[in-house]
Amino acid sequence: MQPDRDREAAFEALLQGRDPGDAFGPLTSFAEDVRTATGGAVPEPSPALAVLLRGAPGTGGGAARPAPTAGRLAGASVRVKVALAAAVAATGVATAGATGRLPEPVADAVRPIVELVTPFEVPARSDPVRRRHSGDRAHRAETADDEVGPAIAGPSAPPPGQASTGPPSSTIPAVAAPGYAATPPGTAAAEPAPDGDAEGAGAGSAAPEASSQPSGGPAATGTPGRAGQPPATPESPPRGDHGSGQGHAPGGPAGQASGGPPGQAPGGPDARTSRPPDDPGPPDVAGGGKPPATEAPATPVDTAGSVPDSMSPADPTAARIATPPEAGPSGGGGRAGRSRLSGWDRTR
Amino acid sequence: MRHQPDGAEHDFDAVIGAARARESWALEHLYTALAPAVAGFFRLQRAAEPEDLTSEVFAGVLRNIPTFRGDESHFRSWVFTIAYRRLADERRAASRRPHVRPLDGVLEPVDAADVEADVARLLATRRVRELCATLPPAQRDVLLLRLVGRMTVDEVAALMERSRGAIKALQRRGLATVTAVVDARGVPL
Repeated sequence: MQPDRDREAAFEALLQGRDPGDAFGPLTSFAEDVRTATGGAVPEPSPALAVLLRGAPGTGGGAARPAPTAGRLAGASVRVKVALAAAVAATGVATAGATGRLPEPVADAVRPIVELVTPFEVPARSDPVRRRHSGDRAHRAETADDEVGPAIAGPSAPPPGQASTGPPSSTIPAVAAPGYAATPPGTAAAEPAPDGDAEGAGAGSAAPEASSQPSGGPAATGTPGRAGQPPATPESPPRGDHGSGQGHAPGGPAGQASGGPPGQAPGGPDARTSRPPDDPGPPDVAGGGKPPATEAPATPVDTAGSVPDSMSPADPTAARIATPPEAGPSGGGGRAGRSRLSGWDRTR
Repeated sequence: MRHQPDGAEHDFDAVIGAARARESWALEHLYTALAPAVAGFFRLQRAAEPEDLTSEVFAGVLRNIPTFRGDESHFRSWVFTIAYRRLADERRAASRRPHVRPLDGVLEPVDAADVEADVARLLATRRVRELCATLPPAQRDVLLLRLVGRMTVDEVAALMERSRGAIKALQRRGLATVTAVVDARGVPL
């Protein structure tokens, strides 16, 4: 048996090309076989290697990887970067404007641009209707019954003197159905809260009572089952003192939606017409030139066939539908839809 | 394209210098000198595609040749270092895919120009393969790297990330196994 040290020495001799002796024949045979096996013909180079062997600069052995997005952006010129940044900023501002998240001064500046280049409209704080997509107007006009409900939701009628906390009544067209001009000023309590703080309060509590047909005018309709509709109780104090107090609905005390006699539609839209003349209201509201209370007589409108029975005079929808085109300088027809939606938006 | 002058003796430094300059003759010289050994190394290691692996190894060698510093022995060790790492990658990849059994009977086409040499090479390859099959992979790697790559114990230790003593132990046990097997089978004439 050969010692390991001698075998290692023989192996080192083989590696150096020397003959280790006959005693290490198996190792010599093994080393010769290895050299023979690894000394064959030159293998055929692959196409990529053939290109390299011709002296071409190396390409990494494969197709060049496309640079990642960050790399491309970093490699872009300053002009491209500035343009990209401007596009991103414009998109962000437009999006913020379209969603109504811009401050009003900024929104006012952005609105015409956005409305010019996009199908969207930048909502104005004073005109919540514009928050909606213009294309939705027709649809919302058709579905006003469902949308106005929350708008008229609100807490119980505000006490006198707090009517100013409500939404500007100028946002609602000055409409009065015959027989409702006599609605006491307190009926304005059924107006939607400005900030929707009464959302869901007293849901539908006053609806059943308000569904009765008014005796004074055809436009007086109730809105049954309005979600969030405030309870119009006889205890509701009359709203504000800006109402003239004239033209009380027959037998209907202020703010009474249910306290009135059957057929009485309390809280008629004419109550909103009792806004003092010095309250200009938002300028861009439909019928922005809404006449003051003194100039908004109870307009006789034949809405018998156009107003659903479920509409309540307290419902701005009824007032809107009853609004004649001449109710405002900008045309009541198209703006009526906005007013209706404005209440809906206000609750959101 | 500048070709290698006929009959001229080229020292290693001149060839490496020309290879760094992308002289095709120098690149081909390096490839012709070492590609058969590298392909044989892969063949003895039972690699699935020895020629493809050889091309990949030399593609890496030619790309990185400007960074090489050393003499001829170092260059050979460097090439086999790349080859061994490529073989390790191939083994890892093979472990994740279905096993492909190599065709032992068909090693490679025989060159009609020198049939005797090719047959002798085929037979030698078969014997070495059979011998290496009796060795653990680590012992086989050590013996082949030392014999084919002509790497020193330290270079093998660095490549296999083992100590010098461990490499020497592997070599010692491998040589004992080879001697025993060849003694049992008899030395081929």
